Amino acid sequence: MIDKNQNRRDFIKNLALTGSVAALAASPWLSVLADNSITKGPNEQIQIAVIGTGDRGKQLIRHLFEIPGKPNFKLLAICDNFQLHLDNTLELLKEHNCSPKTYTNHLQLLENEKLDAVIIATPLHQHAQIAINCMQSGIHVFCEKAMARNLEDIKRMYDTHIQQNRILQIGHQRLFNPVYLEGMQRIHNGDLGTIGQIRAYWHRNNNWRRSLPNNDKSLERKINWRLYKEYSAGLLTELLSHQIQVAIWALQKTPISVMGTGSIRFWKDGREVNDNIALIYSFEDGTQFVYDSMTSNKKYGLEEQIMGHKGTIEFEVNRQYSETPPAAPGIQQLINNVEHGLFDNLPIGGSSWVPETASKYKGEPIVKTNDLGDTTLELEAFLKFVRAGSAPEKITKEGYNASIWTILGEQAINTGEQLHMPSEFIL
Amino acid sequence: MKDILIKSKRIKKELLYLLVSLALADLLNVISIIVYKSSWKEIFTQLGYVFMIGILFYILSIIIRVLVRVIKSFF
Repeated sequence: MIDKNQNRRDFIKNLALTGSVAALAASPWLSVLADNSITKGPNEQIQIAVIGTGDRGKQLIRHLFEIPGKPNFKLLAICDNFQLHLDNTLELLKEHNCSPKTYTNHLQLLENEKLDAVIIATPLHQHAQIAINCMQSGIHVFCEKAMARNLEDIKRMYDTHIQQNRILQIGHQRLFNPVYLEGMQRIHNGDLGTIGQIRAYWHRNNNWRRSLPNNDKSLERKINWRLYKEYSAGLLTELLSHQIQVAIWALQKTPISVMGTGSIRFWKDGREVNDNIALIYSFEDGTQFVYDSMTSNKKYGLEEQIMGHKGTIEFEVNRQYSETPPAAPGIQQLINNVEHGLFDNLPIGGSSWVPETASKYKGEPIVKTNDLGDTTLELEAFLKFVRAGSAPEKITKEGYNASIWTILGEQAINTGEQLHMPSEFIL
Repeated sequence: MKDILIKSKRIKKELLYLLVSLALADLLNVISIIVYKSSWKEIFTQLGYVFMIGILFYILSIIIRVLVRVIKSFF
């Protein structure tokens, strides 16, 4: 059986070798990921801790242990201020014969352990202080998206990363997804022509609540922190932040303004964050990023549609569509024509209006494999960056710009105004 | 129960009809390639369609022959 990890590795190496200058400049982490000279060394074991061991933290730990080739790292400690999370994670780690120390306070962790890197997967409002403390202690940081709860904290994180010269990688796993990497190369090579609009959406039909342990109501805000404004901007920081990052990556520029609206339309259950939102981001060249998200209908799921005058890419379904699709085989055209001739209605009294419904052309796959593994790849890249001592600056900027424009989107919804980036936050 | 006997002559005749139907369908494919200026690869890649159309032609031939026989029986 062909090793799927080897396939993925070969794919990325090939992409890094064949990419145009423009395409590689847009995704400079590709060449680091493809560089096999950054390998493990017996005396260079990377000492890691994971801060925040809830659902996402546990997922990241699973992916960490799935990195192919057994990278030389040791999970030295885990930290969470909720004992149940620590216990569940220790249970999970037994499978990997790993028994890290546990901490309930990240400052104690930093004081007691000599770490090379941390992975932060706490609730959003805690990201900034923890990340800053870690970087100030000389530790490289992988932090889940979005970066922070407000613009000031996002900037503080970025500034600390620059001042301390520590890696700050934000968990936008699409940056490492083979479908996105290949698709972005095509976009940056001009295959889609001039991009006029990017549309993205993320629709779910559930209340987004997690069940409370032992139905303990006092844990509501701790477990369901995504639903409360003090800790989260809801759909914006949890979902939009991924998709605005894709738009900024595709266009290689940041928006100039955003306007939006949102409401609690369906889930009137005491939550504070909107259960539906719609936003329009404008770019200097006139391109728009049109976004919506809701939690009471999932027919359309999620998608990012990059629409140029020569073609369209839909990343989530791994498809590219040409504006001039290849003609159907001759025999099928003949059958269609016979069918139309026999069954179509004849217009009476002049030409009739034909509805401009969506093209039925099903497009072509962007990459052939369905094996994405982007979270494993982003963690593999993080370990490589840590070993190399630095990461491409663009990777931090991708996270920064996505987070800044996510929070500006929230402010646009709250104020009902069209907002521009305050000058102090422009990099 | 009455046995139905199918003579070898009849089998040969039906096979001939099927063969002609498939040949006609293949010819239709070639004509389509020329008319719609598509790729000659379609001679092979569209064999599934050709087979289906061939079967359709054969069924049509059966219907026509049955109709002819029914009409003839009235005269």
